[in-house]
Amino acid sequence: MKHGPKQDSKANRDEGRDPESPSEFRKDRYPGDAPVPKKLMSKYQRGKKLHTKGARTHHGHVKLVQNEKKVTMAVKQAARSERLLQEQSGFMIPEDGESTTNVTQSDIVQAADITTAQKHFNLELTQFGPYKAQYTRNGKHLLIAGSKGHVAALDWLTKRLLCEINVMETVRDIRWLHQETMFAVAQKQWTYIYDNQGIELHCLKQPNEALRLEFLPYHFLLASSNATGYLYWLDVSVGQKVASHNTGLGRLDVMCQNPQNAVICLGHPTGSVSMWSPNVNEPLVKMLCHGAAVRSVAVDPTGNYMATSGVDRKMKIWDIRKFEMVHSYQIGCGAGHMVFSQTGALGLGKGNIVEVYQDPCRQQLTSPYMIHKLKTTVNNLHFCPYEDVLGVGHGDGFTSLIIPGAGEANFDAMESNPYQTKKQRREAEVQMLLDKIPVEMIHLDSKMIGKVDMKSFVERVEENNKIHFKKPMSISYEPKHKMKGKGSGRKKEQRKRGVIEEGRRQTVKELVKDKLQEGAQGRKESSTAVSKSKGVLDRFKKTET
Amino acid sequence: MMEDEEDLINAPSASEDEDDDKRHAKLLDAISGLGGKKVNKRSQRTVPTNQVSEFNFTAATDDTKVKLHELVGTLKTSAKHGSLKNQLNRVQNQKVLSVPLPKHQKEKIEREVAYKNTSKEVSKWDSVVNSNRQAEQLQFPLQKSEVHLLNTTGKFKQLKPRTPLELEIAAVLSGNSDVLPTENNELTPAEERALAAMDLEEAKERRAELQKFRALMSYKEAKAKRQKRIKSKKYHRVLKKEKLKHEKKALEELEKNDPAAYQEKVEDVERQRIEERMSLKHRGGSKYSKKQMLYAKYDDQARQKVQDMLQTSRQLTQKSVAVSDSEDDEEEAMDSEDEMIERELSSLSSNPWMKVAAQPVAKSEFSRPEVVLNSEGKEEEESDSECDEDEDVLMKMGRELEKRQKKPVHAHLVEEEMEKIIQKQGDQRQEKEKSVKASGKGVKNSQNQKNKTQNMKKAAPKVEENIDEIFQKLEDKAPDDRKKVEENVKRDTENKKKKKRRRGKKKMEDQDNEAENAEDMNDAPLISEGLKRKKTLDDLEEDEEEEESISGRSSMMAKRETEITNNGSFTEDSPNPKEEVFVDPKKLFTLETKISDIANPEVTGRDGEEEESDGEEAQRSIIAQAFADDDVIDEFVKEKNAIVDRDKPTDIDLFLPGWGAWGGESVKVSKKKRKKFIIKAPEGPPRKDKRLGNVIISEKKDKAISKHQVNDLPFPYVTVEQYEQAIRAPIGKTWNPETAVKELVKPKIITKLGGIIQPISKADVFKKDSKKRKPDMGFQNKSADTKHKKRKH
Repeated sequence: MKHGPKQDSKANRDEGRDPESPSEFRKDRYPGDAPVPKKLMSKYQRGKKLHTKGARTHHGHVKLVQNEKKVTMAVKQAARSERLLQEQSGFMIPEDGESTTNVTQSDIVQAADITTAQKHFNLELTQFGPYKAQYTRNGKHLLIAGSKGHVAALDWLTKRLLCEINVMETVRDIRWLHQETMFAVAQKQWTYIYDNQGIELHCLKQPNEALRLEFLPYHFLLASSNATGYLYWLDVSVGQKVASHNTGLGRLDVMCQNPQNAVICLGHPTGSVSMWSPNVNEPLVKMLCHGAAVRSVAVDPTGNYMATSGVDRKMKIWDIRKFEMVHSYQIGCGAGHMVFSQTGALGLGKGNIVEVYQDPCRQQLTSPYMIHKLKTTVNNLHFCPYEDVLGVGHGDGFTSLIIPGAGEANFDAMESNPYQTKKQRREAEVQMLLDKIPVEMIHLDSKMIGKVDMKSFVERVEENNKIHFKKPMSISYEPKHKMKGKGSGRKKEQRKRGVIEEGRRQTVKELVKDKLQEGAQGRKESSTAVSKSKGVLDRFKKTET
Repeated sequence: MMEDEEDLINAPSASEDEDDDKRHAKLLDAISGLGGKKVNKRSQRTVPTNQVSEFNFTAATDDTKVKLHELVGTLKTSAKHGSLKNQLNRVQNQKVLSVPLPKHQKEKIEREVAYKNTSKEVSKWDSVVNSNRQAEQLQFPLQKSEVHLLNTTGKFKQLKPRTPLELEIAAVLSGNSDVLPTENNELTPAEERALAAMDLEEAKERRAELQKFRALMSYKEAKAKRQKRIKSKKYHRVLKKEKLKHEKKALEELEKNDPAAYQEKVEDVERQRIEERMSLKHRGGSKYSKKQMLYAKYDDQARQKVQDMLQTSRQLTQKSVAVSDSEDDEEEAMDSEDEMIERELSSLSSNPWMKVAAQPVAKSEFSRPEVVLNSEGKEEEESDSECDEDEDVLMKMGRELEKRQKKPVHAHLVEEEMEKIIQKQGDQRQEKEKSVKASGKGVKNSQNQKNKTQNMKKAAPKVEENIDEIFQKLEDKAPDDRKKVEENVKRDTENKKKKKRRRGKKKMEDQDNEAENAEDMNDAPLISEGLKRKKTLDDLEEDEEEEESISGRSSMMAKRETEITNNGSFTEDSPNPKEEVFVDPKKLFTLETKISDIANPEVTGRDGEEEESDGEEAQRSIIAQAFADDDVIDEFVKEKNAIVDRDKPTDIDLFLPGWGAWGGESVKVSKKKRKKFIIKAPEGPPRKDKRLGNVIISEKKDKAISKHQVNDLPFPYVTVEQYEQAIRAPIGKTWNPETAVKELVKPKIITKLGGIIQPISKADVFKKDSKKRKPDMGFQNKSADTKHKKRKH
């Protein structure tokens, strides 16, 4: 609803010429652009406005003001373009006296349209369970893996199978890599990477016996943890190890990533949760969350809140900006699996029951949003991105549950496109690689990159001071080989030593010379002030005054 | 200019000289007067007479200098002394230069003046420079050359016929009726004539026809282009087949019409066949085909390609021409045909085999030529065998594929083993889960949700009993020293806690402060700081009692109420000495939590075993749970303390035992002395986790990121905060709409590729300025400009 000022003026002129036109049309009642609500603007506002009072020069000041104007304009445009997001997330409204808790999947299936109803299905795979399941980032493909080796990748909406293999080994965890063309499987001893046809591409022999995998899509890092307490990052774009930390915290079978800053969160049997970055070899943060072992950890998509559950039958929500507890709930038993959806709904698997809580971070929960009961224990949960679907891997296979309002309604095709064609996928892959974020930028504070490295100034000075000490150059000298009988091995070694010694002596000489010179200069200066250095016995000398 | 300067220089100095002289004379007078001697003054004649004594002339003193014009004045009137007058005139006109200034002074003055002038000159550009600096975007070249379209007529007007040929052509053209006489005319004279001669309908018809032709031509062109661009293999295959068909037909026709040409064609085909059989290009002879065969194992497309290649090789190696009337022919005919082919082949000098083979065929039994020149049937057999080979390759691939698919079937056999392994690995986990399940053991399996809450209530008292028992047992064993430690710590933290308490509870706290102190927790100080509420075990009990009293599912409000009542009960019960010791650690985690009204579905394992697990196990798990916290918290506090100590800057101890005093084994050094020699390290900044008891935040600096950070404050910014604010907003496409991005990343300077950038011409700028108009080059920010000027003054 834009009202261009140009048009208005033209209209006015036309009206002006025509004296008989009704007066109410002469003026535009809504001149200028349609106003953007402030609340909407605040959503896109990034921090406080610039304090532009001072700048080094006048034109510098002008530049700052110009820049600030542009930023405001960008915010306004962003807020305005929200109109283009036409889709709305799904929802359930219970009648008075009813609650959504009692709504079963069959109720939803009956009520929903066919396409939605088709999203609830059950794969009965009793042979190789319990199963783990994971969706791709665009939510189009599904990867399931039974712990007894059955791995299958499929387009879950059309049920078209990409590949189905049996790796003939225990499968501990699975993870899609950046796209549906590759996935990693943590097997009995090593981690393998397969392509979408089930062909083995790589075998990662580090770490041994990985328990959990986590993929950081923007950094192209595959993080894996193992039973001996090692946390390992691999750059899958170049196939090189980035870091490997010995956490020394025992078996690491509880892991999740903070999607906001790519920090890895680990849960420990000591009731604590630790956060790790590949750049620091100690936990960035270690917080005591439970009185007993932590069973599962999940971080919400904004990276502001963390949910933990422990053996002490509690589920806690933490604000990980301040590292403070927000809510604590007694749940029937410790949730073995938790996961956040894009809209911030929390899926929780305890025993054979799957519970979903709506917005557990910002409000106090009274009852679950939905409950689903399974025949066997839940082994894995994952919300499908951009769909109102929760995938549950369990002992008897895989179940896809419809959870209204779980998925983000509007997708950004530049970011992840559920309707991607093959060509687009290839393009996106190249784009992703170009946009790859270096590992060094993983930091607890994701805005760190926009800050001035102030401390480094002091450090630079210190470093500069350190340069005083010259280190003798290391000399590598290979003596010339002499014919048989001309030089013994001993002689050769002696020659070598001699050369090295000579070199060293030279540097020492230089050093001494430098120091002497410095000393001479210093003495010259000091000699004006103090005539002679005072010896111990000088005090007994007679002074003239 | 120069003259002016000299004036400036000379004028003041000349006057100064005069003054000086006068003063000098005065001074001399005064000095002579000092001596007391009388200086005979010249007598001044007051009476003007014509006769002037010649002795009375004296040297003119300073004040009565004789001026030249006074002497010469009379000359004007007289007509004599012409030459003298001329001389005088010359002298008068000649200017006498004053003494030049010393060089350094002169230069200094010159510099000053030069600076003034240049700065004045340069400052004219200030406004231009400023506006260019402040402009959001500059487009170079700044002066936009006038753009005008070149039309052909204008261009051709310049051309004039020069060479004889051109002249001739020009002559022809000028006289031709098919050339436009002037630009304004639409039709040439010839056309006009034709139009005049033509009937209207006829003209229309003709035009339509022409149009049709043109359209057809363009269609055809477009079609050809499109076909050329098609990438589909299938399409091309079909196209090829069609082409082949046509060729076949053409060949047949050729056979009838032009046997010689036909023969040639046949020979060509034959050569191709021979070449194929020699090189086996399509059957693994070439690198490409070898590779494809290798890939064919995995890739469907490659398999298809291999098949295609085999097909082509088969086609090529077929005896196409000879076959044409093959099998029904009689043997004689075949013989003759064979001979013919032999002849043909022998004529092919390129094939050495053929040459050799051609003659001995009839006589010797040399096998090789036989094979080569075999009769039809054999050839077919051979090709069959070849086919078999091909099929073999394919079969192999197929088998391998089958194997892969069969793998899962084999897997069933291994399954049991696998299960065992998995069970072993999962044992640890199951044990954990067992403990959890056991806790809910009292809860019976039922599908009714209403029953659940009741069940929960039943379970609760059991838990209470268990816990009570545990505490009873533990009470006896509890170590005494621990109590002491607790008390010590408690005293320190008392005050802090008070602050943390909620306002609503303040009153109650005041009442039972003492009681609380008595039963305060041991390791609480650090950890409890981060937590919100504190309750005791009693509270839990009370909670459950309350829950029992409230029927059905209690609402949030009801829960809040229970909490409040709990607090009341807490005050009453707390003095009980029994609970004092053991309750403390629990407060931290297990009991502080708010128990929300979540409808808790009971945990039901699929197998009944877990449900039947006996009470003992449950008890054990509860014990474990009850005291798990204890160790956990202790350990954590220890760890934190260790880390805090580690990160503290260390003191420097310079104490040398035995220095300035007696030393030895049994000699005690006074603390005071020792203290003297310890240099205390400055206290570092407060830890980030200072206020968070349950959190350890690493103080290690992440140096990795500093590589990507800015080290120095960039130019126009004054403070770091200002800079950080300025770059707070992202400019990428990911975060901004397209229009905004374009604006945000607008380049500061745009240059036309290959365009010459001329320096700003003075004439352009100041001409426009003089007209009081904005110059057309970068003067976008005039208001800012004026502001700047104001500031300057």
